[in-house]
Amino acid sequence: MNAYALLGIKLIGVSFGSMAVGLLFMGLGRKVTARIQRRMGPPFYQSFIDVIKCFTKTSITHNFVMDLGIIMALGGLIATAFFIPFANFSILGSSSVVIVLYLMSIGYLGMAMGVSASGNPNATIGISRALALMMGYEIPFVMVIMAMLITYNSSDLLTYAVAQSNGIGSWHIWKYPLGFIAVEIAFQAMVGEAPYDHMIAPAEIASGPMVELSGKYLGIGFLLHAVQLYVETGLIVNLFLGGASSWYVMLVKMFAVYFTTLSINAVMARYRIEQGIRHLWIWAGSFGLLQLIYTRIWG
Amino acid sequence: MTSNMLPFIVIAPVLLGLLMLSMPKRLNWWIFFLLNIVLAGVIFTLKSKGAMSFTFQWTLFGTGKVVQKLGVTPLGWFFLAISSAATLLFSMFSLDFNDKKHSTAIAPLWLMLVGATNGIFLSQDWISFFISWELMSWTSLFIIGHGKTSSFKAGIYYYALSFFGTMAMMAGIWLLFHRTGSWEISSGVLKTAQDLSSHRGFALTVLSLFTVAFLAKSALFPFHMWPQMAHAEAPDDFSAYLSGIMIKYGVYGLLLFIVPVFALTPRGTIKSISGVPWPMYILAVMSALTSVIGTVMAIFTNDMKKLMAWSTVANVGYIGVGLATGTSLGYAAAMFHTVNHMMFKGGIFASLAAVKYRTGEREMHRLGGLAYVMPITFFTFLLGIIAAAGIPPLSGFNSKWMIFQALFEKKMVFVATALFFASTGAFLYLFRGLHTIFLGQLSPRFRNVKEAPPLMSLSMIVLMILMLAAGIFPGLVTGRFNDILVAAGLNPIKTTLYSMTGSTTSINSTLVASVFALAVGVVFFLFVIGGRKRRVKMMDNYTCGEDPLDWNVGPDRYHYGYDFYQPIKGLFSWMPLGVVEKGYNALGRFMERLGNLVTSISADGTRLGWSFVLGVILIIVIGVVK
Amino acid sequence: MKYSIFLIVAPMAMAFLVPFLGHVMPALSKGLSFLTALAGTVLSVFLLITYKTPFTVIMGGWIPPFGINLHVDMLSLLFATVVYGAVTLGIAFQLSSVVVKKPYFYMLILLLLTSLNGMILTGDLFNLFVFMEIAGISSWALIASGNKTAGVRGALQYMVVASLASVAYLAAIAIIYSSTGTLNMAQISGGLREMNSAMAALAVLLILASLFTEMEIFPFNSWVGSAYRGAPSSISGLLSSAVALAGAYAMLRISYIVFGAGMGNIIRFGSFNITSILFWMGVVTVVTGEASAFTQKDAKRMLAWSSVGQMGMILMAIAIASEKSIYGAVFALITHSISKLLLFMIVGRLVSATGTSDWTRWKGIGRKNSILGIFFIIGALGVTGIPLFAGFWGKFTIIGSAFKSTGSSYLGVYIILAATVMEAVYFLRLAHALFEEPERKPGKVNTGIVFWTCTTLLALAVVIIGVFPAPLDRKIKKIPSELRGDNTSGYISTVYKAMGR
Repeated sequence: MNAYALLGIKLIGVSFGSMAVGLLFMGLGRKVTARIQRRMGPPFYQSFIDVIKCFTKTSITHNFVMDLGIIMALGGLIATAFFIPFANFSILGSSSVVIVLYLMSIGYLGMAMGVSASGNPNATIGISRALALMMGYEIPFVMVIMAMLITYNSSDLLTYAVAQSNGIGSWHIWKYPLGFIAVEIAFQAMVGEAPYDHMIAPAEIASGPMVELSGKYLGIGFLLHAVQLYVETGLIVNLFLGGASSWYVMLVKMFAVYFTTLSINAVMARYRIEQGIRHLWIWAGSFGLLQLIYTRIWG
Repeated sequence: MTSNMLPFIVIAPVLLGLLMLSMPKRLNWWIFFLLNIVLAGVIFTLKSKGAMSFTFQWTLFGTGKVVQKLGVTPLGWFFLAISSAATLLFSMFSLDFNDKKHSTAIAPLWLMLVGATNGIFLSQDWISFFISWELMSWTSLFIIGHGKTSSFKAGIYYYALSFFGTMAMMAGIWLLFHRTGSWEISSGVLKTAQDLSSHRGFALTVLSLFTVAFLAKSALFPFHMWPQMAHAEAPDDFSAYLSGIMIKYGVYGLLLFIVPVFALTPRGTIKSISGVPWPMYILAVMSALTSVIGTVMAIFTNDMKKLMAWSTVANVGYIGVGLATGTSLGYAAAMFHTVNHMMFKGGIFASLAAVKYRTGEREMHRLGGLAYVMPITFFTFLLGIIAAAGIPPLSGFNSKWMIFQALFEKKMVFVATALFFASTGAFLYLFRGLHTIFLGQLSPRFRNVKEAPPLMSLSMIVLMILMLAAGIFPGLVTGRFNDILVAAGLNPIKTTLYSMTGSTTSINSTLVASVFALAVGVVFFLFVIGGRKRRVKMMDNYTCGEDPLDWNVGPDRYHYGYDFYQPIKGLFSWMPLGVVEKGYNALGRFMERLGNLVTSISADGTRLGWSFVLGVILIIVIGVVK
Repeated sequence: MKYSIFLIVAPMAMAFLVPFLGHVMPALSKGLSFLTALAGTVLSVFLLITYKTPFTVIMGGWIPPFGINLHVDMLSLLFATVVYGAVTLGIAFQLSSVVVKKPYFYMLILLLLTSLNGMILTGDLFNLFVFMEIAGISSWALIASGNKTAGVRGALQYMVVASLASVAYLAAIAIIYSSTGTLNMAQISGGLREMNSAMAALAVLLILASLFTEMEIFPFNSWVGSAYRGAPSSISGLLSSAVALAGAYAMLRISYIVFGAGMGNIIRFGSFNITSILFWMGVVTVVTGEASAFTQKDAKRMLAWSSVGQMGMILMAIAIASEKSIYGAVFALITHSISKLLLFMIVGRLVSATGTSDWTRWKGIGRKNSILGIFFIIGALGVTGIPLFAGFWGKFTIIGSAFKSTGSSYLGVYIILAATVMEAVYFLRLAHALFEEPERKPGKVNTGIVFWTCTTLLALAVVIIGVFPAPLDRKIKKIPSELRGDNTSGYISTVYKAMGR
């Protein structure tokens, strides 16, 4: 078999692997949230069951754009997952953080397009808020990444991960503390958890984009969230938490990031959209800016 | 194919355009289309003939000996090629667009404009450049106005700013001539580069004058507010040409004159900020400001053409930042983004024109759901906005990535932050356009709308293919750049057909496109093995058990389109938007008051007499004071 | 060579004949006046073609300073040709118009023709004054012959200011004569320097005040709006293309010969800086003129103020006093005359067709009369100085010379360049309005073969000079050297030679 076919098979493996990891995290996360709320919670494999169930049910569709959009969304996110180094190993060789950031957008765009085509205004309102929020968290995030970029003169995530592999003292969390704070705040918005869960906003806009999804569409929507978790926590681990040398350390670190997110989500309420963006700009933004200025001038 | 082809490319369209003034409209559009095919053909064969030039000498007492020279330089040919290819596509589009109901009489003027464009890109001396530039200006004014008062108001705003720039250019040309004794552009570049070391003030004056001219034409700050009027009010098929090609004249000028001057200046001659000479840094900041302003204004507009015009302003800001870095990567990125913008903005405006053609609507919130009835138009618009947002695997990502790489090379992080803001903001308004026009609920008024006519669809399909090609195989475009870079005094960049190399990393675009396709394949597989799907009507939505029709909320009102981002308007209230516009309006009013004051002297006889006395006093004062 | 005197005398003789003939056979008298103008045009063109070197004609055998001389060089011949051409076309235009004028009208035009040519060909300061007065009187009467109240009003305004100007001029002549003892321009030149500088400054001040009135410089030009508005359109056209031209001619001659401006020198009398006066008055005129034109709703007033703007630029060019600037000024004056006349003809027809000179009411006329609209665009672009149209070369050269010489200031040039933006705006605004959607259905404008001949000639001239300026250039480039006082073909030496010294 030639190299391309082998690579293709590996990539398909990564697709399903990322989906599995994400679903696992989602299931564990529900358990964690339940325990915080002093409940038992569903079993940790619950999300797998949910997704499989969704795929077996009949679904409704409004038009071809919905189908296209949903497929494009998950496709884009899975493509992004290919570029995240897992345990200091990058399957495609290059893992430029710029590609990751922009390729994630196609996931967003596809989902936005698909759910807007359903014709339900709730979905569109959710999307418009999500996009507006994106403006809020992308700026601090990008500022911190630029700080790292000009230090290492490279935008490759693998480079960052490898640079942190000299034990816990070499992690970027100590080297870019202000940046880490900024990214943590922005991350909360990136994953769509409280206080920045505007996109879903369950009680307000009837789950936002998910409102018209059913059956396999909903299943894909779940998978979207799953892969998004994989990608985003993987991003944070590679950027700040030192990458990992083995797969279980990687998974543990990724889940640790998600755990923090969940904990904050469980105890906080939601901001209004303009408050949310403003707080992101003011708090995450200023930390990010300080980090950038510091790195630019003295770094 | 001799060098006599060069004046043919310039003069034939102008003369033919004049001739067309007396011919019927339908025939005009056919002639326009056919001549564009001829021109495109000629231009593409020019490249293989190597360096070619055509000179024409004459002497006038006032100007001395003038050697007018039309020549094919790498940069000029590049712009000529892309603009003639784009014009060909637009002329094909216009052929179907200008049927009995929608026809405008602009074809003769447009053809003259094409000739002027060719003249601008072929001119090697300032006199030919200036003549073509002015011809381009007034013909485009009449096209934008196309016989409507409101459109003309938009056009005259554009023309006033542009003419102001042209006058600055006239001053610059004369200063250069007095300094070098020659009208040739290349000797002007060399001399100014030398003067940056020896006669700094003179060189900066000349550079500023030319920069004003080129800034005004390319709608960079502080001349950024004319596209939203001009592009929006222009005839719909012409808006694509305006946004795609005409806004690039200023970029061409900057690439022709300003950037090479700084490239030829040895390092350390002029003080630099962040590794970039300070005048170029100021240009970068102004361009970044333009991007930010364009983005914010676009987010809150309700008119689809104005929105896209502001998007053009933002994109030209990117191009300006790219070339202001002065590196080969930046120069290449600017050219790449020029091509990409031409394609995706052309596609977007073409699909908007198709929508207007079929529905007659221009306000976005009155449309909706058109994707279900006009799929080709929808796909063109979709690919256009994906490219505009800079998302791989389409072309916009490649050029934006290159711009950022150029910025990172020079460590200009604050400019990069502003550009990222503009980039993210682009999502907002681009998606808004997509949703409000093409997605959501389809109004019963438009249920019978048909797809765009065949030639219009064909040109849109071609544009889509081009966007994809430039995205997946960046080398198709970037491979041309190395000649241009070397000619401008910069180092060549490393590119292959599939990948681009930047300052921090390299990207294999084909790989990205392929893995995306693979991932989509995987998801498609999942989709197919999933359960059955049932088709339901658009209005059959989750509405918490209520029926919207009970409250007279039909598809029109159910469609979420108006004032899309109203919740976040307050976030930007601190921004002093519109300050520059107010400044220009104030200047205009001042001139009116001055004029009224002067004409009021003749209101009665005593004032006349006193004016004489005033005159005498004025003479004495000036004579003694100076 | 002696035939040049006919350029002045022939129309004067005809002017006496026309009213008498007019009582008997009006058509013949009008035709005769046209033929006179035409013949004069032919004569001056002939002289132009056979011109070799400047020459002086002494009148009546009396040598200056007792007698008067005519001086014919390229500048005077060229301007005389333009004046004759303009008047011929103006008469033709008026003859083809629906409004029928009495033979007295044509008599006045012939008088105007005489006086303008007299101004252009004479070499004596007082003679210039006399002809200026005759030109003034004929212009006032011609203006008043237009629309009842507007015409009289315009004429009165012009009269008021012009009278003040004449007084000033006369006083200046008195001062100069008492100091130098002669009124011949060649003999005076340089003589001003020997005068007490305060007296010289005073004389200059008075002459400038009066010439500025003729040349429509701010603030002596307040009469311009009403005069052009009230006059019949043919006369407005002539005011702009012939009368202002003669005023500019006088300015040229007096600056270079009488004041003795050397090329590139700054003229100063004591602490009174003449060059900067000319320069800055020119700049102010351009700004105020273009601003005023910008505000006008009345097409004729708009064109009037546009002429003002052009004259300001010419004045600036005169101030710069370099070879290129003189060349540019002359070029610009000639092309301005051609373009302005074309514009006034079109505007005149539009006024009589629509009954109003408010251009906002002319919307859409160009859609029915497209050639008229196109000619208007040609004229407008010709005046604004867009490349490929006549006015470009003059303006381009003037701007170029402004950046090279010591007599100018970069700031002033920048101001003028900025002011021309307004010029482009108001012209193109009107041009486009002709093609905009009309409120009512526009009708066809009454035109005829004569109208089309005149306008086509002028429009072709604008375009041809724009694209092939070489023939005109060959003629004009002789002028700067002839204006210098210091060489053998110069003005002064020619005159002295003719006087036998």
